[in-house]
Formats: sequence, structure tokens, C-alpha cells
Amino acid sequence: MNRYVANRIALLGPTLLLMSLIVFFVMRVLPGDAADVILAEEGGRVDPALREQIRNELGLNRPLAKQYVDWLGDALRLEFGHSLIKKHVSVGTELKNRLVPTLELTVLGMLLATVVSVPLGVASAILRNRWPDLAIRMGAFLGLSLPHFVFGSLILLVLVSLFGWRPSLTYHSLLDDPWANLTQMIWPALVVAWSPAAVISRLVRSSMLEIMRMDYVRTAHAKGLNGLVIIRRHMLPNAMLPIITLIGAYFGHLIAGVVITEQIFNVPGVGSFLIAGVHQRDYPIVQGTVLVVAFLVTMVNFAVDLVYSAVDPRIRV
Amino acid sequence: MAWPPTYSWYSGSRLSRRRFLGLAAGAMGALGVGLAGCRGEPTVKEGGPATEPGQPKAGGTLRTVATNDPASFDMHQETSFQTLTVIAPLYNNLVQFKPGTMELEGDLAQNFELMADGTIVFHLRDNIRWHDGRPFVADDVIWNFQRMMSPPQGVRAPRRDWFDSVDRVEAIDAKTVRIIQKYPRASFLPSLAINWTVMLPPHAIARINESPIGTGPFRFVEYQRSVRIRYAKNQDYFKPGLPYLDGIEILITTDQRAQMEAFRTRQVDMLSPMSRLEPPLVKELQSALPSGAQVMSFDGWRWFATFFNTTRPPFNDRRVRYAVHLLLQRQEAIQVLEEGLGLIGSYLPPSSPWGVDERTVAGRPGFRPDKTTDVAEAKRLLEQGGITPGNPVRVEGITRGELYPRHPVWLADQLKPYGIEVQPLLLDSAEEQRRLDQKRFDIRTSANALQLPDPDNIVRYYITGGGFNYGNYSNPQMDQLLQAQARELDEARRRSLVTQLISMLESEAPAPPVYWTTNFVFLHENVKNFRPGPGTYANNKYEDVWFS
Repeated sequence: MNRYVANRIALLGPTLLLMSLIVFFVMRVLPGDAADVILAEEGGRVDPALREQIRNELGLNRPLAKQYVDWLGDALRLEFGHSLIKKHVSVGTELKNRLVPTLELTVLGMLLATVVSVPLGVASAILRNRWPDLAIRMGAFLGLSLPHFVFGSLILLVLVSLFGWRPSLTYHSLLDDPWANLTQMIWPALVVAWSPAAVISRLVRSSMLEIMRMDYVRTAHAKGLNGLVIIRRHMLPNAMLPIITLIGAYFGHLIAGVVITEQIFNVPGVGSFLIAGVHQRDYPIVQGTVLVVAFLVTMVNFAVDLVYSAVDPRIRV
Repeated sequence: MAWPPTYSWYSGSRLSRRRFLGLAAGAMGALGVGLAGCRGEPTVKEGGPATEPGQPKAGGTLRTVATNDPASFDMHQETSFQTLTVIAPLYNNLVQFKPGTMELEGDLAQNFELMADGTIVFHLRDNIRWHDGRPFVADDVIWNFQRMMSPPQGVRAPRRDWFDSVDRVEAIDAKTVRIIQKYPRASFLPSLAINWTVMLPPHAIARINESPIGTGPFRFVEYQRSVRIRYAKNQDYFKPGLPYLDGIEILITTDQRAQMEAFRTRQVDMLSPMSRLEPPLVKELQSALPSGAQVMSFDGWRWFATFFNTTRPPFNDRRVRYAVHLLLQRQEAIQVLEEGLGLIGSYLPPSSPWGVDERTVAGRPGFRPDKTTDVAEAKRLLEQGGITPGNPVRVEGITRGELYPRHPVWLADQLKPYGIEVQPLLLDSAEEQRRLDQKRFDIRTSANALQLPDPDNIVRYYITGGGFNYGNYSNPQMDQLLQAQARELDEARRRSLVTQLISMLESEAPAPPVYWTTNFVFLHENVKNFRPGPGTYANNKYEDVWFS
């Protein structure tokens, strides 16, 4: 176990280093740079000398290797440099502030998805081909086919049209004002939860259907065990392994994928920060955000691997 | 000091009042007269007037919403209209427009004098303090002008050309500043009322983004990026009794539908120029306005134009450019691209006293709704240029994809039947800028904004080598006219020059305007005395807004 953990942690460094190299060079392949964006904002044609002057001021004329090493140094100190466009904005501070709402939305969404989808998946399997099963499957299809921005907009439309109310435009921290926070965050959490809930419920259903035919389940029934006990003790633990994998994968996907939902519900997360950074060729923002998200996704995957061994004693890490 | 401030005019060797009015009318007087009866002044479409009479009351926090975070609090370096409207309540200009007019009055200046040679003397009020308590003095003004005209390394000065006519700025004493111009320039004094030219604190400029201070009616309290900005009343404001509001809370969301819903559910008291809702949302909100709410419309002095690259075929040929000018169905463009919320206008805003009003323009070639004659003439010109539907020419139409994605598509649809096949290229700002600089485009579609509806403001779009002359258009006759009108202070003579200028622009068609936009402000019934503008770049301080 310790050796496995040590190996994974040792691999973390090279993984992040590779990621930082990829994002660093991919950003520089895009046409134009922050100097162009600054000049475009000012409008008008550009004197090449002025562009060079701005590039010098931004440090974009330094050799690429030096730019990379300097930025890596900032990243190791968890500062990630300053925005090229808004020079006073520290990327590290901004990421720290913005990660909280994004992580909260992701965790809340996955929590909702798991809490709702697992019982529904079980019910769907047990009541196979009866109307509750069909209703659950229909809901799952909807969840899979409805894009986040449509579902989010529908929720707001209903809230505004029917109740004359919409979640607050102002983000309230969970610690400062839990109630205000939840009344704002529950709606985007619903939006991001539906799609994973749909997939998880379908996976739980198929896993449960498979396990229901197993000998040990039949034996448990023959022993006279209560149905709920059989599900809880014997079926669910065996069905959980692929579900945990899926939850882990979705978690990583959501951290970087909730940008549209964040925008619709005005959650000040990392998504909009990253998008603006890409549009504006703001290299430190993009590099810092991608690196932090990559770190989080790697850590989630690591945690999933550890959970495997807890759920299934046959797996030893 | 008395409030409101007064002007003092000099006679004799300087300027008589009559003489001044004759000269400066080119920039201000005529604009004021012209705007009085036109759409430059806000129009209230629903509910009672925003400037309704009554005893102003102190108190209350105004909640509004902005589309973007301010890029910074350093007004001199910024270029985004969104930034300007959000940070303006912190600062003051030397002069300001009387609300809803183009007439100037003092702001930080108690009064000012304009000499015949263009020299301006500003007499500052004697009770002005920065938000940190330090007195505001003439040296602060000098520092600000130097920073806007010739900034230190690392500081941007995007409006440097506004000060081209300035020779030097000097302090006569601690309360008097003299600006000496190399030549009188009609648009210079009004430009000092635009919020871009506010006075920033020299002693606190290093920390302007962490703890911004100004002399304005509101003090900075808090900024949570992408969440909100809070301002509180400046208790030591130099205008007695102002501001009326206890504070302003600006929520920030890029989602314009969220802004609209916040207004409908009363999370905000108004959708100010900080929002600038897109036309479809304006229509939607207008059709379901909350009880008691009102909407004001006013000209944005913003126009959508098609800039031709005149350095290469086919648009180096005046006949082809003019043919496109004739073919554009502007009324359709307003319907399709602006939901009917726009104005037909030529090269200056139709509401401007210098421009041509909408009705007159709508009778001119290219602008008139009946295209029969225009299309026939355009086909003839295109044939002369070697372009027919059977022998089409392919051109690239570039634009900022995130801002104007539909414009080049509409243009392509307009021109294809006549043999001009436009390939729309939706680019981000960096790539578009590169292409503009390298002249790798045929048509550039974009919206452009005038800070003032003064002919001087369009010079840089059409003069040879002008900063905004994207298509590299060059015509010595045009250059001469553009320069002559800028220095002409006699209204009649200047008007004649401007008429010739517009006529030549329409004929030469370097960048035919398609339409001019309209801005909207939505207010709940409790917001009183909100009087924006003129335009959207002035009078954004909210100092005389009050709650009923």
C-alpha cells in the first residue's frame, strides 16, 4: 500500500510537468498573443514598434525556455504569475478564490447525482420493465440528451416566470452564509447532476441485473434473508466498482466542465477565468488553471484507486 | 463656493462672449442646440419621466449590474466602455456636460475661460479633497495631463491623439491651470468632459487597483472579482448635498439574460449603460416590463460599418466599393441584426447636429429603402469592375467572432447574388488584430463608437495613416477636408466643410455605414433623476440620482 502510494505520488510530478509543457507550447502555437489583444482593445492599426514595446514589457520577447522556467518557478511557489492583460491580477490568488465555488458546485453536483441515481438504479433493476423502471429510464435519456445550458435556462425560466424569483446574482460563501449559498448553488448543482445521474443510474441498473442472477444472491434468498439486506450487503458492494470509476471520471470532467452552468447561474468559478484567458492569450491564466485542474483530476483518480481497495478486498494496492 | 458653477467669459484681447459663442459653437453650442430636439437626449418610452420633478431625497443604495469586471481602476489606461461606466463614480472631470445636453459646465473647475488662440484657463474649486483627505491642487491636474499625453514607460495612453493640439499645461497658482494649445481645436474642450479624462490621484496611483481613490461622489469599499463592487457615499464631496445615494452596489455577470432576470425579479434597481443589453433581450424585456418600470432609449453614437481593404482588388476600385454601398439593404440589417432597434445614418450619427438626420439620409442613394435604382446602378458599376454573378469574386470578411458573428454572414447573403462571394471569418481579437496589421482581409465588419458626435472624432477612420483607418484608405482631398474642419471654429464655415466631407465619404465609400445603434436603460419606479450622457461616455457618476 505504502509503496503504491509512494509510486503514485512520484508519478504526479512528471505528469504535471508534462502537462505544463504541453499547455505552455500549445498556447504559443495559437495565432497572436497578449500584445495583440491589448492593441485590439485600444482599437486601430498598430505600429510594429509599439507592439514590440508591449511584448517587451510583457516579457514575451524572452526565449521560450526562459519564459517557461520563470513561470514554472512561480507555479512551484503556487503563485502562477500575474495576468498579462490585467497586470495587477495574481493568478494564484484568483485561482484560490475561484476554485472554492467550482469545487463546491462539483461536489454538490456529484453528491446529488450519486444520492439520487444509485437508489433509482437499484429500483429500476428490481422493478425491471414495469412503469417505475420505464419512468427512470426516460429521465435518464432526458438527462443524457439535454445540454446543460438548456436545462439551466429552463430552470431559470420556470423560477422567474412562475415564482418571480431567481437565484441571487451575488455569490455568498458557504461559510459566511450557508443558506444564501445553498439557495444559489442548489440549482446549478441540479443541472450538473442530471447527466452523471442518468449515466450512473443506468450503470447501477445493468450491474444489479447482472448480479441478481448470481448464485450467491440466489443462495441468500434461499437462506431467507430480507430483500433489502441482500441488496445492501451482497449486491450493491459488488456493483459499486464500475460506479466508483464512473464517479471519479465525472468528478474530473465536471471540475473543468461546468463553465456554461457557472455562467448561467453566475457562479464565479474557474471556468470563465479559463475561457477569458484563452480568448485573451493570457498565458499565465491558462497555464495556471490547466495545471491546477490537472492536479485535481489526478488526485481524484488517485483517490478512486484507493477507494477500490476499500470497497473490494480482492484488490490490493 | 456657489453651486452650480458659472462660466466667466473674457472680452477685449481675449474673447467676447459673442465671439466665443461664434467660435466654440463648432464644438459645443451647435451640438447643444442640435441635440435639444433630437434623439441624443434620452427618450422615455414607458412610465413616467426619469427626470421627474420632486424634492430629491437622500439615502438608499442603488443596485445595478455590469457585464464585465473592470479591466482596472486606472481610467487613463483603459479602453473598454464597460470599465469606464463601472469605475466612473469614483472620479471627476475638469468639466462636465449639463445632463442631457452638450452644454459644458464646471466639475472640478469652478469656471473656465477660452481664449481666441485656444488657450484655456481652469479655475479649480477650493474645497476639493481626494478620498484619503489630501487636497486636490493644480499640480495634480498637470500630472494627469502629462500622463495622458506622454505617459511613463509601461503606462498606456490610448487617447494620446486627443491631446495633439496641446502645447503645454501649466499651473498659474495652486487653484488655476492654463492649457496652451498649438492651434485651436474644436473638439478639445468637450473631450475633457468625457469620463476617460478624469483626474486620477498622483500620490496613490501605484495602488490604484488595490485601493482606488478619486475625488468623486462615491468612495471605493469592496471589490469581489466577478461578483460585485461596492461604493459608499463620499461624505466630503465638494458639491454640497451630493450625492443623494448612500452607495452603489454593482453586481457582475457576463450573462445578459441573468441581468434581465435580475431586473425582473428586482434584484437590481436598474439596468444601466453598464449592461448594454443585446437587442433581442431588450425586446423581450420591453414586452414584459415589470409594473412601474420604465425604459429610456438614447443614441449610442455607435455604428456598424464595413471597412474595405483599399490596398488590393477588388476594393481598391472605388466603383466596386460604391456598388456595395448601393447594394446594402440597411433597413433589413436593422431588422435582422438589431431587432429593429437601430437608425439609418451616414458617416456621422443621425442625431448629431453635424450629421444628416434619418429622414434625409433615407432618401439618398444606398440608404433609401427602394433599391430598384441603386441595384441597377450597382450592377453597372460591378460589371465595369469585372464582377458579375457569372464571374464572381471571392473575398474574406473578417470580424470579432465573439462580438459580431452574424454581421459578415448577413453581408455574404447580401452580396452573393451580385457576384461578390464573402467568406465570413469569425476571429478572436488577437487573430483579427494580426490580420488587420498584415492587411490580410478584404472586408472588416465591426461596430465602432464615437466618444463625441463631433466630426473631429471620425478623422482617424478616414485620414491617410489614421489610427483607425483599417482599410488604408488614402485620398489627399479627403485629408485636406478632414484637417480643415478640425481647426475651423466658425460654425457656418465648419458646417459647410463637414457637408462636403460627408458627401465625399458617401461617394468614395471607404467604409459604408450600415446602421447606428440605440442604447437602452431600464429603471424601476423608485430610481429618480437618472440622466445619462450625452452618449455613454460621459456623466456616469450617479451624483444626482435619488430614490423616491
